Amino acid sequence: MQNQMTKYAIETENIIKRYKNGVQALSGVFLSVKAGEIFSLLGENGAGKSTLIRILTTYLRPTSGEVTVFGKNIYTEAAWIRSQIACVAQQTSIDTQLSLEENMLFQSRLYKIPKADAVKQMEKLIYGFGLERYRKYPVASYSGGVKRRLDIALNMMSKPRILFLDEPTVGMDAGSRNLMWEMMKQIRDEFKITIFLTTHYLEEAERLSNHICIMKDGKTVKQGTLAELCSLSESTLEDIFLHLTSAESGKREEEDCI
Amino acid sequence: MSVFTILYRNVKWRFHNAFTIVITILQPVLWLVLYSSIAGQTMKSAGIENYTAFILPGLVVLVSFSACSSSGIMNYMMKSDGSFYRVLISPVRRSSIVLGGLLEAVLCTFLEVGIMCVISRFFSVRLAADIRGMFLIFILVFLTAFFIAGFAYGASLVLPDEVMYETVMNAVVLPVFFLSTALFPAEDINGILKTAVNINPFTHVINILRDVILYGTAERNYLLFVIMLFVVMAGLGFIWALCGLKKEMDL
Repeated sequence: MQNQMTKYAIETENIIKRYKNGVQALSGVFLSVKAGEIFSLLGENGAGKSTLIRILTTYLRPTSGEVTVFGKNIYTEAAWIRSQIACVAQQTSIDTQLSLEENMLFQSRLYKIPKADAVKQMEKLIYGFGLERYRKYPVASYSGGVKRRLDIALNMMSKPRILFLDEPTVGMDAGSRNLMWEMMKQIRDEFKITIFLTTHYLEEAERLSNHICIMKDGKTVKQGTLAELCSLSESTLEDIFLHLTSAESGKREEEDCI
Repeated sequence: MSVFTILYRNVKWRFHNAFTIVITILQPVLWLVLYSSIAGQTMKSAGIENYTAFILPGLVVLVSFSACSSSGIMNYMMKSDGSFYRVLISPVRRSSIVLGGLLEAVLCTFLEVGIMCVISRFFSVRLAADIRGMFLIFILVFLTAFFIAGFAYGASLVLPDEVMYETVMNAVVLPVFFLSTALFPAEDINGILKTAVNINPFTHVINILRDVILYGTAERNYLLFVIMLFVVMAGLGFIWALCGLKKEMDL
């Protein structure tokens, strides 16, 4: 019960991830994600965002470092953590051999949701995500945007306490992206779900996030609210991001260390 | 219960990709229909009256290889376009994920074996097995398919892509099939070839299946030996597949 009341949904301390092929993907990640907020992880391609998500979702084990989800250790209580989270990966994870409803019910069975509750939740999500008119069509025929909506909806079948979204708006047109942003706010506000979002769109992080963390070369370099980040140097998020992630900045930091 | 959830999803995949059933049964059916007719005349001189009935047990093993190998392909397809990752981060036991996958391959094998048996009836193949014999056939086919499915599942998680997977499976299946008693009696073989055929565990399951199918009975000790051998092999296949899945998350 005490864990249920934990203020932080996710806490990490000095996560290092070195793949067996020798690639060092993470080299010091420190994060604190409050429950019920939208937390954006901002970073360029190759910054280590997807690796971090794979660790936080229990798919990969870190080489070292501490990770807790709602106070539970990821090394020892992975099974419990899995029942509390869901992840919408960069690639849609819909089974095209299943219908829309079958996809959603399959997800509910993975989480052992009673049938009656699952059907109720499914109807709510189908309505909430505007998927009613796609029910009778084969999933394979859906457009990319509809597939993405279904992917998010089915990941919410288990009523996760944390929803990980790995670059959910990549490749979307402006209209679909706006719709997605509204959907994320709705998920946070109506379903009271903590959203952990990775993105490299500054506008997305700016418009949605309660907290933002900037990553570079496998490290977290800055974390705070948008106001906190911008007040440090009285500049925009874009200025801060470019300053922190540019090669020049990296060199300067190295020189400082020397 | 999670096993059935995974099994249901995989069965749906199989019927959605029904061509995998057609393709995997095609070659064994061609052997059954064409090869047995052509080679049947020659084999009569070797004392085999119904060569179609003689090669049916070997083709049951061949169809198990085909059906179970294609279930490995399912892993690649679900990794690139499906719920592979989503299932792995759900609170489902890894062993249930593997078991669901293997049982689908076994079910597909039974479907294809059933089709083969129906076709073979048109070539005057009559099963001599009674209810007890049918149960024995069921156990032997189950264990054989379960082992092959475990091997294929594990291989699909270890090998980097479909091309490599297909190459390796072909490199395994064909020698195993030809170095067995699938197409000819063991008595006609001598020397190192005989040793190789005897070492092949599939030789023994084919021999037992043949005895049960043709004569409705099998030598008790030999039967027990084969069942125990394949129980161990099925267990090892499952462990191999489970290790492959765990390794997938230990990059």
